[in-house]
Amino acid sequence: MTIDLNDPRLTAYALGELTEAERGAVETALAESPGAREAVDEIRATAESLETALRSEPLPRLATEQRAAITATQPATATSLFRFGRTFVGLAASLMFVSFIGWLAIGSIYSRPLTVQVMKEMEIERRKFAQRTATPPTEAAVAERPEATTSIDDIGREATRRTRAKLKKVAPEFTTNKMPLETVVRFLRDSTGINIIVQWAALEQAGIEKEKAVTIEIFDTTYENVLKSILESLAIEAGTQLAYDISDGVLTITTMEMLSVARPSASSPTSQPIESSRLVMRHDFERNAERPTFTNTASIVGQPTADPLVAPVDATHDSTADGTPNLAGSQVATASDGDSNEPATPWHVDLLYPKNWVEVRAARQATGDTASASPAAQQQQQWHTSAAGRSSSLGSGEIAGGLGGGGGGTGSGGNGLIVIGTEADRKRVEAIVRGLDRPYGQPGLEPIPTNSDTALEARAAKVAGAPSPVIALPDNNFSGRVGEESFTADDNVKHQIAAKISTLTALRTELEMQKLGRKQLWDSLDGMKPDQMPLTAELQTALKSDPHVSELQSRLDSETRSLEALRTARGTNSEEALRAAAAVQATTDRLSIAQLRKLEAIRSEMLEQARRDFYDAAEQEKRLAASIAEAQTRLAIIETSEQNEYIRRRNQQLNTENYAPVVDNPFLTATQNPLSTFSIDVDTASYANVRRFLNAGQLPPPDAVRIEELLNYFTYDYPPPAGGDEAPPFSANMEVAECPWAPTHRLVRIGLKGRTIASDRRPKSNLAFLIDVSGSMDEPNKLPLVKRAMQMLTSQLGENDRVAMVVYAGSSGLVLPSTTADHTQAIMNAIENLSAGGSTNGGEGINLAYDIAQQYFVKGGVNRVILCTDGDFNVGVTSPGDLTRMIEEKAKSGVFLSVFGFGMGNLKDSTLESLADKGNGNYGYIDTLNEARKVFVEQLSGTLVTIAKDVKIQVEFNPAKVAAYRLIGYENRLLRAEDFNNDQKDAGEIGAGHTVTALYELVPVGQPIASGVDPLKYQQPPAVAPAATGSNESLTLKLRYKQPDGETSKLLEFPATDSGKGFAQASPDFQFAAAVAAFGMQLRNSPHKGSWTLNAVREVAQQNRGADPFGYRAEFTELVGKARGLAGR
Amino acid sequence: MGEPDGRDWLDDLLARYEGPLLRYVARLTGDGERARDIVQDAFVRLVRERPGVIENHTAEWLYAVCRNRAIDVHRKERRMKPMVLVEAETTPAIESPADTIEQRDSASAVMKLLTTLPENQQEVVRLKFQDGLSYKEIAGVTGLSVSNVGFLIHTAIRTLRTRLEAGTAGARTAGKVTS
Repeated sequence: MTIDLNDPRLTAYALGELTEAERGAVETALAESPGAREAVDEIRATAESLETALRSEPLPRLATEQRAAITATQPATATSLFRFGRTFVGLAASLMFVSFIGWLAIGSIYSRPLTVQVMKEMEIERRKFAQRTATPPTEAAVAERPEATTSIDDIGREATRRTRAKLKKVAPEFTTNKMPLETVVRFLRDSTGINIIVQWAALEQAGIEKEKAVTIEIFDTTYENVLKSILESLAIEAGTQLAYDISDGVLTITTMEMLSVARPSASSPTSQPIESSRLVMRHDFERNAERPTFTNTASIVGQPTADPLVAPVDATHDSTADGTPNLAGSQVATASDGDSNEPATPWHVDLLYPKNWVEVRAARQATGDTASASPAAQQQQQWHTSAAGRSSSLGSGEIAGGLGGGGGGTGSGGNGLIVIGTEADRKRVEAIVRGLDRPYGQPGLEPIPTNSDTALEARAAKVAGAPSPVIALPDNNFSGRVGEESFTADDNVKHQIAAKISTLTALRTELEMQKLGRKQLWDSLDGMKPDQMPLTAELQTALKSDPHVSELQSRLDSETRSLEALRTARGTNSEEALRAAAAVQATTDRLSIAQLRKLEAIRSEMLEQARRDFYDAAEQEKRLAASIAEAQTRLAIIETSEQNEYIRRRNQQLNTENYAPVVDNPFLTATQNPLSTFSIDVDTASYANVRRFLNAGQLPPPDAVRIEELLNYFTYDYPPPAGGDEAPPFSANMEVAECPWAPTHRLVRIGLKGRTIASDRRPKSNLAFLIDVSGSMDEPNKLPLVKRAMQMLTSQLGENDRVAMVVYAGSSGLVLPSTTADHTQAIMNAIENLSAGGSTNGGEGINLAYDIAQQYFVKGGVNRVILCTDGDFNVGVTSPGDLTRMIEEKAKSGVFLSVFGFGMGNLKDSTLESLADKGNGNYGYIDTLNEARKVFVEQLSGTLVTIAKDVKIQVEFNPAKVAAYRLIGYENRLLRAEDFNNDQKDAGEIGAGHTVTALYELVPVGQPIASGVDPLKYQQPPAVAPAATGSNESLTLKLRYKQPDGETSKLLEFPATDSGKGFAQASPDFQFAAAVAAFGMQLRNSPHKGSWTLNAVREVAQQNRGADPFGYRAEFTELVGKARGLAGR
Repeated sequence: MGEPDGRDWLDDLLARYEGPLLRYVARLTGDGERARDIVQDAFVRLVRERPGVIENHTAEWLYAVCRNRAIDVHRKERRMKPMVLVEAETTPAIESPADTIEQRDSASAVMKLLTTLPENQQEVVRLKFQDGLSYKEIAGVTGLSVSNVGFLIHTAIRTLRTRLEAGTAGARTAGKVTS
């Protein structure tokens, strides 16, 4: 066996973790591998240093009372309490797996009794304890107290220490702006994790309401300072003194007048007048002698009476130094405690009121023994006398009462409430303490945070009450005007919307159910407060049969017995008996306190758990509400755009993709219409669109086929213009040959070729990309293609060129300020970061783009807005008329417009074409990456650089040679004859290197004219001029153009003669152009399509592909094949 | 447990496991106070457990109970405050001259490097080397398989070894260690 260094067994071996058999195997392997042996040594060394390092880490210890709690635990008799704990945890875990609604149901059924039962136990314990401790213990108990109290005080101190530590934490920022005090306190509680109690009753008496607005702005200070600042500001406003106190880890906020017996709480009408009683604040020096904080409680000093419970009282004993008459409660202590043999020591009853129970205990009074008091105690005395002005009449003896504990070395005496007084006083104290002690009304344990809940409710209401985004759809009552196919499409839209509405309704219902469920949870949590919910019969039975309760009951009994023993002992005055009884008492106390702590801890844990679960539920609901809102928004957007689309379609009688109707030019007689006038057009969009249809296996709609755009898609090999810059910017070439689809007719081709401009001589460009990023662009063949196209274009530009980018959707924005094109990365990033979303406001974007282009206008250069869109303008300026008028206006600034259509299904071909037409620009349709390359790379100069604008063609036919003629294509470019010489009349632009091709089909004289019009009866055909009969010319081509920045046109004339050649003798370009035109006529099903079949067209195209460097003509051939297949002819 | 009447038994257990468990849980929860509560609970449960259930797996049982409880607490709190993570301390502090000196001491170097390991490796390493649990016990505590525990420890030691060597080599040449 060989062993690999990566084998975990090596480590296991080194650490002695292998079984004998494995060990043997590894040892064998090790013997053969020195490397592995070395590794084992290294592992051992590393393990050793790990062990050394890790074992030297300090070992924490449990707190004393925790150890005590463990050792006090009874083995194998799990009380119901712990079963509850476990059940609850188990329940909580399983709850996580059931659905939310289910959770609510289960939660409200099961969590209530469990929690309530535990709380009931707590309450019973508390009451019993209160009951027990309400009876003042004997001096014998006091004698034992130091020992007995140690653990209690330890617990309290430990909790207090933790709370203080939390208070010392630094709050990075604590800002409230007119926040209600109650909320501020809750905020503070949540941020610190301290259990804070506010004695609202006391505060309200001082004129500070829960709703009191608190404005505070504190940074980087401790929570303690935050709390102090809040209290100070409140106190100043209210003109009272506020204080807080930490006892047993609970922070209590109250007034200095707290517990004022002088103003007994209205809720205890049975209180006696309390002139004889007084209340003072005590200062707790236990921790912080320099900085007094107020510790719990007050002392009540009352007239002693012969209260049997406090008795035997020596009512005459007055231990105070100044003999304050109303200080008196006293009792003879007979304890043999070495610390004091002082007889006639007055009794002080201390009240502790930790979180939720009350202990009244006796503290021995170190009567006037100020000499033995600790320095702290002296300080206490001084502070006490100076701070509590009202208490000046109190004697030092009473003050010294607080020293008893201090003198005892624990300082705990200062924590207690010391009562000297009558039964009436005691009752009053109890009443007050109960008022303080609000076990289940503690704000810290409030199960439901009302503020967040209110917010939730409000939000839910907002969601539910929001105006319904559902838009009523128009009735489908125009079906008569609707084609079968479009009708189906619209029905689908309706179905989709209906489906979305039903989803939304379901979501709403769910939300309502959750709200209801949460309400129930709320109610059940609320009901958990025992004082608000009566014990049900089952609960009472459950309590009775609960072993834990009976255990507690028996303990209570035993304590009662021990008390009895004490009383008896006191009666017999037997020291031994007293000691024995006190010992019993002390043990029971310790145990029950530990038990109570435990109960308390569990109760708060469960409440905490309930609170967290509730928060979870609230959180989940919040998320759901958010997702519903989002869904609604999305739906609203979808519906709006679909609605718009729907209405628009109806308005246009569901003439889906918009194509302006095209009617083929008819034959015109040369005698009646000797002039044919039209504007040139270099657009190519129709071809790409036709290709898109055919590639999708569909014949294009006839109106989508514009033959001139098909013809001009291809580049023909016309000779470029000769001469310098002054010469005409383009050349004109004409060829006449047999018409292939009507052999008796002649076909004239007019070809213009713009001057080519080498890309390095291209004038400076100032481009503003205007990119549609509306939701409809979010398709693979739209925005992504736009991005690639723009990147291609940008890569062709140089440092002299500028690019800006404007997007438009619901709102428009400049995403790239005008930047020189050598900042490739910035431009590319801006392009890459485009993303689609929102509806479209084309108008606003167009304005912005033109503004940018004008701002960086380059005189003599290329100033152009490049619009990339699917043409779906559905917001803002949407009427095509408004839009084109706006563009026409903009074009006057000298900024040209190029329009590129992308994608399918939504293409507004007619809008875009007219935009480009009015904007002195060109219109291209980009359906593939190849098309993008053609437009933005290969023919970029043509795309960008206009060499002549408003180029018009007028052809005069010689009636001596031509009987009739027909212009193929250019149907929407026709001009009136007089427009030719009118420079105000807009016409087409020609870009650098562009070729423009136009075809005329001529009927030679002598051939029949299929005009269908009878010869005129009253009119002779006009006489043919002698120039015509004497000429061989069939026609004269007249051209008018303007320089790109010129305002007046120039005229060029070129005559053409028919050499009478057949189609086969014509140039390849002529033949190919004829094939393209014939293809267009076939697709348009033109009445003039003649005898040619698509087969013949394909053959001719195939034969005349020429060089075809980019494969455009080959692609054409394929398209013809596809069309043939689709048309079945 | 076996000795219901022998309180010595409990004292022994407390003396032996109280510190290590607290240390372990405090690391898991990042809160010493919570750790105390958890460990106390675990012992209370131990005492109450029916005899014969734990047998002689006491250590494993205690660690597992504490671990589960710690994870419960951690999970519960994370649900409330998703941003606060206990793992925050695993990033080694920025070097200071004092650090450099300190790192020459190999024990503290190991400790420092230990914090760079993934959390699960750190835990098994601690259980193994700090608390002296066997692979099998660790498997019982963490719920991993024994071989997975072996793999984790092996990987952890290898990583530590490599980094320790790199560290001391760096210290020799550059007088400064980067971990």
